[in-house]
Amino acid sequence: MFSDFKMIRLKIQERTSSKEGLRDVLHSLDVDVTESDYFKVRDERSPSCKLNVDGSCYDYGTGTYYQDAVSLLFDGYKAFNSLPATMQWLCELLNIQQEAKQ
Amino acid sequence: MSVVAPPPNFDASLYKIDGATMNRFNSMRQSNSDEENDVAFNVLDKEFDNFDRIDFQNPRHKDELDGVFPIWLYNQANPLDRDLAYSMSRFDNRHGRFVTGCYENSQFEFKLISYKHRRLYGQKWRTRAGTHPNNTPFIRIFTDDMTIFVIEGHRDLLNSLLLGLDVIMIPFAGYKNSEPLEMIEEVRDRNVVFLIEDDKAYKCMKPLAGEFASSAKSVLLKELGSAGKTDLSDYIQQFSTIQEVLDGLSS
Repeated sequence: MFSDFKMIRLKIQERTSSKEGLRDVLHSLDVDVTESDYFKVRDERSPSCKLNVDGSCYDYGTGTYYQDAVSLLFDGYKAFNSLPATMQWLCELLNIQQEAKQ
Repeated sequence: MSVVAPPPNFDASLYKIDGATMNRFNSMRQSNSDEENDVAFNVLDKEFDNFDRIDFQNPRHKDELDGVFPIWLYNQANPLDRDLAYSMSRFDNRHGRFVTGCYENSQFEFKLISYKHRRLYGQKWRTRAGTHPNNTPFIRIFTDDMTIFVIEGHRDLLNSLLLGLDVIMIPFAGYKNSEPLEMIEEVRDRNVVFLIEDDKAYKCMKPLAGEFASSAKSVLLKELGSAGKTDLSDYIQQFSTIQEVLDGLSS
């Protein structure tokens, strides 16, 4: 897997440090986002999670703050069982080169 | 961004937004479009100038530019037309996106009122926060007898500038003509063709065509593609010279 988790996470944060960056990630997951930057993180009637300009997001329904794409996928959507798997998927999506563990 | 398979335990259907809710959220946004800009003109001008100039040699720019206008069109265009399109285009290095300026009084003073970031997958382009350019049409009519085309959107505008057409660009499909008299004078005794891409654009352009019919020589509503949504920039992809496109449009 990865040699340095912190560096990889920083690289992911760098690539998704804007509304557009996180929007592209959500689009590749096939999640709908409104023009006013709202989307769903839970099974709910109206979307209540809002994108911020720095690529983080805040769920007004539950009061949860997701600081980056990794925490949104892992804590919010629970799409993966582990953090490394989440980061590996994001690395493939964002074309981030991984260094092999020695 | 590369294409990868979605995560195994992720069900995207839970996070779909139904049409009524989407419309409600989008109309919340569009209701602000009549407001004036919160951002000063000199601030916008400085921000826009800080973006990079576009460059087909740069591979990062090229990927993005290919999505806006084809390179053959850029190379074959009249130098004056190309200069205008070049001056309206920038590349945002931080986001890796194409940026185009939105101008007021395009016939006279060319004042920058906002700029738009290109978005992928055919989504609506993103306007700079705090600005409201959606009530401002772009008019460029420089001949006395050529057909005037009415188009929708900034990508179509850049393509038609490079083609050297006389155009009136309406900013989005919800546009209402707030100053009809000015635009009716522009089209007096001229042939006008409305290029329509979908039902939404038809609903917007039909009342406008009715207003133009009182002064124009002839008004025609034309659909470019036979199936699906086809706008001017999709239409020109099938050609390789400007003359072929002009022949196709006039037929």
